[in-house]
Amino acid sequence: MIARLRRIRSASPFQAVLIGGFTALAAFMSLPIIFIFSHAFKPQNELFLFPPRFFVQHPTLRNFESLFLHASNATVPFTRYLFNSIVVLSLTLASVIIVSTMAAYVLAKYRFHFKALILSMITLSLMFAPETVSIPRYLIVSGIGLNNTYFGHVLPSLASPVAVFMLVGFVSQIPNDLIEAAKIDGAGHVGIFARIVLPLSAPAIATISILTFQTVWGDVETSTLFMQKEAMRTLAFYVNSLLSGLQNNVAGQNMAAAAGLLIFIPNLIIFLLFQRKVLESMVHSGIK
Amino acid sequence: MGSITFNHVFKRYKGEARPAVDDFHLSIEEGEFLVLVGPSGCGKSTTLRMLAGLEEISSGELYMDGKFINYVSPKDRDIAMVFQNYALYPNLSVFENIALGLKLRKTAKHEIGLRVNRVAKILEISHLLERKPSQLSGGQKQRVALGRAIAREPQVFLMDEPLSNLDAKLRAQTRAELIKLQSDLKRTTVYVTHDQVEAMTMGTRIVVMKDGVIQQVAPPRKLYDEPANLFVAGFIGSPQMNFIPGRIQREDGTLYFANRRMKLPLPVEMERRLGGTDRSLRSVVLGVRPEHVRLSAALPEGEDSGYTAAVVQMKEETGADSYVYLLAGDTRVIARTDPESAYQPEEQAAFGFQMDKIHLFDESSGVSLRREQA
Repeated sequence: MIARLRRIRSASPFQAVLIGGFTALAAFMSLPIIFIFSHAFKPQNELFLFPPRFFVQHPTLRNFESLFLHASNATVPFTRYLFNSIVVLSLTLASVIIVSTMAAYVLAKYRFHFKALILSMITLSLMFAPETVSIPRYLIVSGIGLNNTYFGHVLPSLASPVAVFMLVGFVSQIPNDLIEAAKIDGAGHVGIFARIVLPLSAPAIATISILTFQTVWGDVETSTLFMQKEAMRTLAFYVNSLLSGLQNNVAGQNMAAAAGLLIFIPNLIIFLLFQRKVLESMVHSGIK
Repeated sequence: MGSITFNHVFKRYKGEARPAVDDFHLSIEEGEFLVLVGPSGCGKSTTLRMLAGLEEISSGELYMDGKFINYVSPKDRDIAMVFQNYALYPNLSVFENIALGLKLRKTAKHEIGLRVNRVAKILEISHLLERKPSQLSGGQKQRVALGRAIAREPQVFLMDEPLSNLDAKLRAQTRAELIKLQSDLKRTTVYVTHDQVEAMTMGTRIVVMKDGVIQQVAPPRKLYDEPANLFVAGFIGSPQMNFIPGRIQREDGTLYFANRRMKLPLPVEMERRLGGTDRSLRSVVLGVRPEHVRLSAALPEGEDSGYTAAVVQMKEETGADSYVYLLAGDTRVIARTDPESAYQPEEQAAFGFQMDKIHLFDESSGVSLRREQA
């Protein structure tokens, strides 16, 4: 820390301007995040203060209290939504990582018929907006009887063209020599994949984890379309319906503020966690 | 254990007219240090990769210890390979890098520890076992790659230009260590390089390749003294062998090598080998190594002295020797002299050849006449 400060001291005027400029920019960009935190702890009267205050004056936990109380009055408790979200998220993350890395390894390192066709189909599927495939998705999910199951949440996001696309680029940079060395060392396809390809793709896996997390955590589509039972819906759906129900409801604004923070925090944690991993794995990968 | 036989092996890549490896036919004996050498793209690496099982064999058969192994997967061939860029697993420590091959072969854990430590001791990398490859220098990485190969105790070592990423001093040092290691372990080693010095110093037998075709297989000394053709003669030796085009002529019953500038009587022994037939009177290329060129400050008296007048172009010092570059008309000749000699650029000089050391090659086929007659 001291060394870092000393470095700032010995900066040239140009570097000083840069440091100052970027610090200001970073502070400005973090304003919404600070606002979400501050907003969630504002008492009812401060929420409607005019002109609005940025920082909370008298922080309180009342908002969270009323959110949980409101939720426990409903047929399905808040914790059930949370549990659903966590289950769906873990299942989806794990399966997306497994499916994408395996697909990417094969597409990047093996030669087989129709490889170019498959790759271009994956690229093509990047172009479809999710809304355009809602109906076929519904038909497939209900056709194989996945309505109201956790797999109904997982299946639509299982094949992630973005993840495969990114990983193909990444895996193809792993030197062939490494794979051949592993082959001679006695590793089979699974061994090469698990011992060489997977660990070396860690930075890319971290990135797709962040992306997948954000999509799944905020996704309401699977809950809306495929889940008819309230007990199978996710937190994002709950918060979303709560907020839209409260839009013109003065009394509900405190719950909305608290829910906003709750839905945001995991995003932040995951991002900070994996972002560090991305950097770490890039530094230590040792691949030139 | 560890003998290898290539039986007319070919490698053809799709969409390419010429095979990358063309009729590779060779037996490698147990414990031999065989070096494949040639310019880039000559098929030496492809041959090694076919032996490793990383490349399919288009036609022909490959045997190891008399067993047909064309379709045996790399891991079942009992080989270990050292790659040019080391190919260490960056995510594993040095210990794990060396141990992986043993682990995958279900070696007992205590045995793995013993073997890795023994290998680390031989290669003097015991203090590095906990490090990751990214924390090693080039020379250290090279040792780890070697250690990974040795720890497996395979029948055959394959090495694909393992020294070419090292700096000159380290390369010479590692070369010596490799030679010692091989003679200690007594395992069959197939070594690929484009560096003829490496080939000459390391190999018990050398295979010179060009355009996928074997040019000559011989021990280093024989390769140097009796190159089979123009390519081998030019490839082995530095500076290169001098080549002078001309014809073989017969005058008064004696055979001469002659062109517009020189007329050199061929030694009796070579004349006998060429035979008295007129078939030998044809266009040839005379090859003579720089150390077999005689220099003289002035053209000696007498017409048949065998010397040719020339102009010194430049002098190259290597420390132990110096090389004088001469020009006689359009014929360039490099001669080795001792560094004390006083030849200066632009000066007149004369050169002659030690006629018992010259080589003659057919001009059109490039094949050594010595070999052709034999």
